[in-house]
Amino acid sequence: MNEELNPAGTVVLVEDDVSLAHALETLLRFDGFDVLSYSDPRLFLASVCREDSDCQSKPTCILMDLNLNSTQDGLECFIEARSRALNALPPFIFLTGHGELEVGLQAMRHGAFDFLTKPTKSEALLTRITEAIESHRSILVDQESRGLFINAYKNLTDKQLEVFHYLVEGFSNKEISEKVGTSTRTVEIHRSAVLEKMGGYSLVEIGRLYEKYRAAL
Amino acid sequence: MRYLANILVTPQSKIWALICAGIALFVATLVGTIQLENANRSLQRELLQKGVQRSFAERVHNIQTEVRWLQQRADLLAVLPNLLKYEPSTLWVGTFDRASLVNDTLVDRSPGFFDPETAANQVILLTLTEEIGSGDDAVVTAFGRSPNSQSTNQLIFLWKLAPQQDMPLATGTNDVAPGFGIVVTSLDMVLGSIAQDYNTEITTASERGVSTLTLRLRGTTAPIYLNAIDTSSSRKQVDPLLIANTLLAFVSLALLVLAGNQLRIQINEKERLRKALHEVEEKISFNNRLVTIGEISSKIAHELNQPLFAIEAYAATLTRRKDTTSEVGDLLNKVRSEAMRASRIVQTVRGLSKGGIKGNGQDVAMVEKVLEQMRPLLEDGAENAGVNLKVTIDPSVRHAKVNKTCLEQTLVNLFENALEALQIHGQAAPSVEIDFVVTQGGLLQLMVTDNGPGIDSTMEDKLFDPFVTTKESGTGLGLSICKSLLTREDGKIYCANTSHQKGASFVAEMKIYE
Repeated sequence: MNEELNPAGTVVLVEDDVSLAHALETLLRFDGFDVLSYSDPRLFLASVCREDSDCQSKPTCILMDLNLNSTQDGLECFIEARSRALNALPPFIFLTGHGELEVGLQAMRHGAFDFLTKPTKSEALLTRITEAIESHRSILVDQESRGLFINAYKNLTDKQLEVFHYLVEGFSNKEISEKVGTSTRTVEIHRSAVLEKMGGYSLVEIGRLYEKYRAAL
Repeated sequence: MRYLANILVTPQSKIWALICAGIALFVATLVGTIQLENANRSLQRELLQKGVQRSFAERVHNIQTEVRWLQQRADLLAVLPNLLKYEPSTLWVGTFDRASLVNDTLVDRSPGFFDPETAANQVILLTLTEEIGSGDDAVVTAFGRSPNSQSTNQLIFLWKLAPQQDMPLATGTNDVAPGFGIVVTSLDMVLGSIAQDYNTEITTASERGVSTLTLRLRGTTAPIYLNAIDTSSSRKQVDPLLIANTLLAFVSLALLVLAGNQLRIQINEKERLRKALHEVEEKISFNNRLVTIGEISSKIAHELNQPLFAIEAYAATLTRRKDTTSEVGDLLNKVRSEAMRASRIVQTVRGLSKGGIKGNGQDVAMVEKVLEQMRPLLEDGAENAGVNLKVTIDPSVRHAKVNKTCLEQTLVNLFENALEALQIHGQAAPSVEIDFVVTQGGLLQLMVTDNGPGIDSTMEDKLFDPFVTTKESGTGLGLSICKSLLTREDGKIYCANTSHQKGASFVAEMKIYE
């Protein structure tokens, strides 16, 4: 809903150095990002990593310091966030100190989007954040279309479903009418009903979506 | 030693020995029965009748007590350190004033000092060969007392540390001079008990008036050989008790020598261990300091990177503002690049101390290769500073393999120091020379010489200590890190002002891997 208001997306910042957090916030806000700032990973987990969090629906990136002076360091926090099996956990970008290549790579192995060494050039930071948000955006878009598709699919009548399957397999109206045992005219009616229910996509598009989501059907 | 050998081989000495033996037998049987105390008579009787007897040995111990040879040993021990100082080249035997020995005021040690004819009859010549030590020679004195004389005469023993083959060694005790028979045999008994008491193995042998004692401290492989020649004038009265006493003194001397050697070995060993311990302690404390530097700089690097990152982000935000003029933008970008540079500096210090801790052989490269990689850096630096750079590399060094980090860091540090010294003082025709050679000890030697103002002599000693710097913006870590890296590579670093008045020269040495 708010997406239209901030096309740049949201950055959730987890950094316990207050001065650095403020500097990064300033930079990010200036470039049009919404910023949610947390100094404690536990607060972050409690408010962001929830089913009903906005981060599940808005393109977001999480920028987290790997060295947090907390009971939980960045990597542990990340692992816990992942373990919550959220619908669309936003990508994580870690900030590491020098010489922390190993732990940075470890974070990557656990599925982090990237890690950047402090201090990072602002341009590079902004670029990676934008890319992360885009990747989250496409995930969200994908999830949305998937939801719509599945919903539409479930709303098809038995007859429409039968026709749908022949359609996506590439049979012509005439062939379908022979298989189903109705007139070509009836098949055409079913066909336009199916296409309408499926959201007005072309048949080719629907075939592609079906292939993509059939496992979830 | 030669003089002694002469005594041993001259015909006169053989005759002397024979005469001596005859007289000794006569005296032992005739004079002995008249003059000796009851104890001694019974000793002889027991020995002759029952052969080797423990009780006899015990009685001989009584004689030992009587002549207080333990006291003599104590005296000897006091004299020994002084005597050990004398030149071994001169052989000297004789009766010496005890006080002069104790007080170390003995002056006359001419070879002719000893004359068997005129010297007091208690003089005994003694040689010692030992395998311990490394050819040190020494003179030892012992004191004996004749029961017939009120005066205490000194028995001077000369012992010499010499190769074993220099001395005649006899085996078995059959060939002993008659006069010595009793005493030597009884000596065996004494030696037996001493051997037990002192945990030594003692064997005796005599040939042609030369008695040989071999002492082997249990647990060691190096025996000590003692040769004794009885030089008592045969024309003079020979007191069997005196012979017994002198031989006992001989034994005590042997033990003394043994103890002295042990003492010396122990002292040497103790000194060696102390030094080794000290070195280890030094190394540990050095390593600890280095680890501490590593930890501190690591922490500092991390802590500094936070505000530096903040500076970068704030400045970047400002540069992105539409109302920022290009002039302000340029300045802001300078702020940003300086922040990045500051970050690199702390990172380098941290990397250096870390590299130092690992180091050792893991990171080996050919000098030529390292230099090839570094040459652009050096040349750029020299060009920017307007300094004339000359790099000389000895052909023998080209393919030498050294610790890469160590060489790089040392070279960079010394080079940058040289450049800074030249810049600060605005040298007219500044130049830096870098030379690579191999030292006699097989180390790679890197010498960086500039024609700057040289090093303040008050700083020379402290230059390589951590946090010591002559530069306003210096960390004081560069040279100390170099030193630690080089120490790890069995090398060292030092500096000297060059001979032609101006300029400083830093020399760094490090191990070559093949």
